[in-house]
Amino acid sequence: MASKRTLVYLVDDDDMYLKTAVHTLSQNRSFDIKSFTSGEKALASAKKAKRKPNVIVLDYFLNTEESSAISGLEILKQVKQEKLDCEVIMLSGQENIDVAVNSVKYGAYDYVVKNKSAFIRVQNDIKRIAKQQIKDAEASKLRKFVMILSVMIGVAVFVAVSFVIDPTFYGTWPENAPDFEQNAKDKAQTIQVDDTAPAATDSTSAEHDEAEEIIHIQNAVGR
Amino acid sequence: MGDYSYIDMSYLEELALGSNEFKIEMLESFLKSTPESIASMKGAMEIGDWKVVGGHAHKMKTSFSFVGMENMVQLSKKIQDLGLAEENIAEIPEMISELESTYLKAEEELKEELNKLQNA
Repeated sequence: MASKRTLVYLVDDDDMYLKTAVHTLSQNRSFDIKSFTSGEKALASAKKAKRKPNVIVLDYFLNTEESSAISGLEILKQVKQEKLDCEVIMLSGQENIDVAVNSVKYGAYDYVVKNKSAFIRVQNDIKRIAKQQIKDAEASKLRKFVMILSVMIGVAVFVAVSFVIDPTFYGTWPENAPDFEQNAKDKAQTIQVDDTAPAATDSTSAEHDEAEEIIHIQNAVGR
Repeated sequence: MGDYSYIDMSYLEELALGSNEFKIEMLESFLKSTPESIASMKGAMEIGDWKVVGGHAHKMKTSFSFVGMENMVQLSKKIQDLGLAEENIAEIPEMISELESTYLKAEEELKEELNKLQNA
């Protein structure tokens, strides 16, 4: 997960309930809240958004007034089909075993009845989901690291073993390649020759003195 | 908090977490949406669309709970259940009539509370 903050989508066609949910859940500073009055809008946003929601809190009966609207259950199915990698908490205004069973059957994390303790339960669910998602992300990172390390160790071991078994495994030295050994010997010899340099310098110095003396005599004759 | 006969602000007070602004917003929303929902419910009832009647009742049920109108929560639930199941629909008109008249009485108290909050 890129962010340690939890992005929560709240979806409810009941304006008062939506306002209350936003107000209550916004008290938790680690939650970022986005609210939607229809499942279609929430789904479209989740699909195209760069930062995907971590949790979608979805009302089960989104089409009680607007029969053409997609129901909460249908949105839940689409969230799972699209593999949006987020958990869905289903809200319902009535205690109904069919609603609960359907929600869980299609992959909802929890089914919460809209009673007075609903916001506390939803908040606790979101915290648990966020914690689990952080753990999963860390475990995934660790798995990738271990995999890369295993590959690197494997390659190193293969190279070492194949070299031990057959030193020419990676090919022989080309004939026209530079002879580093000879070069090294030549260099060593050059250094030895350089050791005689002071003698040569003395000789050069004597010649120089001699030339100066000739110039001096010539000047004297000239005068 | 005022002493009212139809409403009880304690739940909304609890949810507001000290925010007057939130309470004002909720009461304004309730006073605007409830008459609209009752009108839509009556319209659906006239054309015999009982599922839509049930749908409106379902939404109103939650709204009534915010302002502590427990009797209206129960009444809405009955309308919702009968409407969505399309059962005993003959009972629904009388229930809607009761719901509307009780709301109109509660409306005065809601406006009074809203006025207090706005002048606080």
